[in-house]
Amino acid sequence: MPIAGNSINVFLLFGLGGVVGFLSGLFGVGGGFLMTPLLIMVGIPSTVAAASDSNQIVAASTSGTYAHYRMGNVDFKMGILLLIGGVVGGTLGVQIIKVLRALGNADFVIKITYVVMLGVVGFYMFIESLQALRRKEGAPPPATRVEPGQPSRYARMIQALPWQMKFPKSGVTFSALLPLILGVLVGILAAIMGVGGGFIMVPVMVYMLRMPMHVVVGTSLFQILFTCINVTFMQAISNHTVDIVLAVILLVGSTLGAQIGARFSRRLKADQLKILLACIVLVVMGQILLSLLLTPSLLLDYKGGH
Amino acid sequence: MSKQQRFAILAVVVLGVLIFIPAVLAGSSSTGLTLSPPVIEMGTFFKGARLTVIADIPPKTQTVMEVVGCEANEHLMRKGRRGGLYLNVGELEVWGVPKVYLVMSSEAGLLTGRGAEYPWGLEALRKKLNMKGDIASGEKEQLSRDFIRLKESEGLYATLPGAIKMSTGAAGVTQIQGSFSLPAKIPPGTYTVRLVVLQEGEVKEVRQAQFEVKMVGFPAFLAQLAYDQAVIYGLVAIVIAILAGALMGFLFKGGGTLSRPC
Repeated sequence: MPIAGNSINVFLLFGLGGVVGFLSGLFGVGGGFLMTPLLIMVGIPSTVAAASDSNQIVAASTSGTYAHYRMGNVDFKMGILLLIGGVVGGTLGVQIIKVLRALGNADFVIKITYVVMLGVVGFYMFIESLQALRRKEGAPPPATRVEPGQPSRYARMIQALPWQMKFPKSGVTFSALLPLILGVLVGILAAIMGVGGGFIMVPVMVYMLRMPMHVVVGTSLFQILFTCINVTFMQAISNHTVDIVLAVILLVGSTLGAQIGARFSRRLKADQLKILLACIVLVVMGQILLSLLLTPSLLLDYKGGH
Repeated sequence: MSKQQRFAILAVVVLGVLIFIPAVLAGSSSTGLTLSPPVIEMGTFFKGARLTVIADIPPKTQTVMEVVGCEANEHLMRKGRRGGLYLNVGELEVWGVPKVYLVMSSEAGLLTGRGAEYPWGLEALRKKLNMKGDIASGEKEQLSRDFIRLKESEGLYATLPGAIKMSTGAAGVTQIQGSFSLPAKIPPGTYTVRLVVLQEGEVKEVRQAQFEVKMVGFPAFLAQLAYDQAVIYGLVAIVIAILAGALMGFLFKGGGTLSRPC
């Protein structure tokens, strides 16, 4: 690897891409949040892993965005606002990594961000799918009390924000500030974690922005594509951590894996898939957490992660 | 042809001979050491390399062979526990240390036990380390040991007691052969191979030769582009990714790696 600065078996990386692609095809999610930690585990410096994974996501989200654009599933108005926020956030995130590398703690911040994000997402998914499985076993879902007429505190707060804007494609109206701020947050995470941010953006769009699901996926991919283009470019010029060779090998592996995974997923039930994915996410999180908790074999390391 | 022209041609020939003969002999036995290969090329599939050093030595002598990289200052972080988690807690600088140091000997005792008192080997190198930064009194000993272990874990420092093979030729000349395993992480640059010949514990002769490790082909092109033309490299990375994604999408009819966001 010319940028990662070490030699790793091509077939191992190809296989890694294949496994993550298989999981993304199997579970219907992207593999960004799994790819970076796995690359770190096989010896790629975390800063190179995160930056190269962003590059790989550019390739991966290109075909997805195009497919959704053709189906009319992209809300460009919303996507552009999220994108502006994402570009600002991504640029900010790259500068944060630059400062942290200079201070010597970039690796620690990347790892701890993963522990928190994977922990929250994994735990939430696990509980949700467990509840769904139990419901299917017989118990009806608890009845929710609906109080008509009185909007929630969250809805009132959203309505009070300035620059209210209509989004006809998604059928919602709220302040332009909301997607901008959310875009900034996802952009920062994309730069630090080397992920597209879809696993945060999709729930945010569904639950906070109340967008319809078919528009959420296309718009999220559109935003991810451009956010990752920005992150890749900024990482390349600021930190010199983008390894094209690594990104292309992963891409080829993950594309093939995704095709196999997608075919395999038809044989499994949705809740079983979800609980399995939650377990994988929690195992990866546990592994990273252990590397922070257990005494390392060496108490010295190179500054900047190399 | 005038006298001046003949003199000019002769001068060019002599100069050519003076320039080319040492170049041809570099890496061969002009220094009493034969290095194979004299140049190590780091190509696309470089996984490390093996460097073989052969030399003839007087009978009843012992040898120590070193591969020494150029000196550099290493910037390090020391890890410590804060709030139950291990993170970098202080900065260190070690200056004037070789990037690579591999050593082997004909007799194990030249590098182990009392052999550690000689001016070669990892223990001698450790004692010479100059460190500054966040070091409390009495910590230098442990930190210098950790530094050597860090380098050993990367394969950049290694000690191989008794690894030099010796054989006696027909004319009674002793031939030695050392085989060094150069790690995949070896930095490009010029390296020195040093052979120390000893008799009854005393240094009789020191021979030196050099070899080069250089990046070639696609990795060299990419590394140069990434560091010297970062803007172009960034744009190339994006264009390659978009084209690769479009191609994969076309091949799999829009399926792509991520049909849904990550």
